[in-house]
Amino acid sequence: MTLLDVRDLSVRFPTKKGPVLAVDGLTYHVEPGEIISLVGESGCGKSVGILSLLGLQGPTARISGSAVFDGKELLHASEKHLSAIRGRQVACVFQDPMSSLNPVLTVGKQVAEVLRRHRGLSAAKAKAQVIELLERVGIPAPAQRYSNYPHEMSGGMRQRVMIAMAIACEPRLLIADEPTTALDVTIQAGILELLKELRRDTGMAVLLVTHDLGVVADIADRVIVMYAGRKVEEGEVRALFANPRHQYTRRLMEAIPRRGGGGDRDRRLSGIPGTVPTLHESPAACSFAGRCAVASEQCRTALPPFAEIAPGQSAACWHPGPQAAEAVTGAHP
Amino acid sequence: MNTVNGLAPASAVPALQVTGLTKHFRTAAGTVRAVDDVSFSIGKGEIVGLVGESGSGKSTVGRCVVMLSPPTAGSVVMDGVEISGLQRGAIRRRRTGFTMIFQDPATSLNPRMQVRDIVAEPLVIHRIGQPGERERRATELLDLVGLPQMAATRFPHELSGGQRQRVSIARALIASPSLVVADEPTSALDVSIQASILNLIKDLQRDLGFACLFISHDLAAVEYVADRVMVMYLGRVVETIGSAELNERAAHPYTQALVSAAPVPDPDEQRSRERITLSGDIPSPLAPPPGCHFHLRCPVAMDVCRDRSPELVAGSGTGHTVACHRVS
Repeated sequence: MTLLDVRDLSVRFPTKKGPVLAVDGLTYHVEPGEIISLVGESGCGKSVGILSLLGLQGPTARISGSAVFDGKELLHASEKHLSAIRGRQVACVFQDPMSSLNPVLTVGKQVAEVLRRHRGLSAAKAKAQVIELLERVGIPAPAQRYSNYPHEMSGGMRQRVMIAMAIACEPRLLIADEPTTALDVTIQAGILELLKELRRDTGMAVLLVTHDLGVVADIADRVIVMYAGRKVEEGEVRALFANPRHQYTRRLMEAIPRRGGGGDRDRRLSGIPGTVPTLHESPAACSFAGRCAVASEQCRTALPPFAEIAPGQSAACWHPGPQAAEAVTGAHP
Repeated sequence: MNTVNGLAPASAVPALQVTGLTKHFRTAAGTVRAVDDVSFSIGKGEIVGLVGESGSGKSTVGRCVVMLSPPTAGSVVMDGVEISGLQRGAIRRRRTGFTMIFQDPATSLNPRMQVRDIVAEPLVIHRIGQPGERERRATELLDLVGLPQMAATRFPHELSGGQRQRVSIARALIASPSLVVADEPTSALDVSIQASILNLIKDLQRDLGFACLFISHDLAAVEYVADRVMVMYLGRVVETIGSAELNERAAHPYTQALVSAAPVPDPDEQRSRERITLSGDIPSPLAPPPGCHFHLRCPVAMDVCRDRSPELVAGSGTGHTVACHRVS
């Protein structure tokens, strides 16, 4: 059974210049044990698209659509219902562990609080479990680390504490919003390994929001590419990287510097001219048309439908790239 | 002192020669040894990348080189002139020769000034040219960095992040510096914008010929723009290598770990790569470990690594230097 089924999710925020449409008709699903990655650049709606499910967007957000987790509707659910799900069945890890942890409580106490609250464990039992959890996420000397304050730990260790807290109740879905963006690459590698291990051992699904295509290539099973609040492409990770179909995905892949070939002065990356538009109303056109090199009249006047282009790969593009050997080499310039 | 062999490129006088650079910060918790006896040179018209993780001291090196933060010890020689010993006024008079591009253009541009005035300000401060000429030159530079004419009368908040970084680049280049230090110039930008800024830096460097110290935590970006890459760990340079050789011939275990940890955007390649996993975190620069600073996390550390700090010695290939007991 599908673990999370999101349909036609739209999120608006009122601003002085009128409502901003942050997410526009987003539909996606997560199966048990799957690692799904939502990728895109700043302001594409990738974070809003998942945080709004759990009522974490603040009172001004106007949310419509549907999000069914384990057969139960999340949107417009009572706070009581949501808080029973949050932390227990769905847990979150955010980019900056320093601002997610309480600076005046020891990390051990903070992880223990989750167990005491959701599982009703006694203080002594909770402590024993917390030490096990800290060990599980790869924190050395967990019994000593239990009484550390967040400021006494490094960024990587703090993020491990956040993950320990998130997996304390063995959630079925872990939402990770840029969990490694603030960390160094050698630390990032360890956190990604840990997430893969947890998925393997507990069958937990992971919904990972990131802007880093390298991270996606490392960990995701399925990828959702977002642009200006909409899903523009979705596919199995290998197919999507080998053969990106939406023009935005293609340009994004061409814009990232790739390792190897250093010292070659003639090597050129191609950036994408222009900027992402801020949307007030759902556009009746492709949002990428203004920056797209192959945009036609049709792109400017009609919204491309999100349609299957190849088995397991869909895109919303009037001029999807070819599926050919050429496209494959295009991903490795 | 580290020995630096075969580092200086062909031209006789390098654009920048740094010898024994050391920077300590006194804090309530003790002395932070941010930079510890670092030596290197940058040839005229060369781009040298400086990589390392947070706390490695790479930004401090950049700030010391342009004298934003005076070094505790060591010498910085720019175009044959030692600037590290100069008085503040004398450094100030030479500031047009070495400039800096910062990470976040939103905080390094004056929000109350129009773009044209921001770009022309170095000329005003150094009393170069007449007002009319300065304005013409600023317009020229805006054009050179690819900004439309109408940007000249805008304020920074009216521009996008990428456009603002173009303004910083125009300002850094207006007085024709011989050295530009770029500290994470693309880290705050989205990838689609980052590519254009990297191209711009590469193109301008080729056309104008300034030397450049390009500081970044992003190996792929550094490899793309730099001729040589310098790797720092906990205040010291551990390896210097041509960027074409970085992937295949890096000899220091830390460089190898860094290269293997940076994910590549290709699922098949990424999932089949050999990974070197480092245990632990970068130690505190308040109390760096004795011997080789990396030995606590090094997968191939030996007894000698705990006691003696390895010298930077010539590795394989020209301009390749490594500080590792395993190599020497």
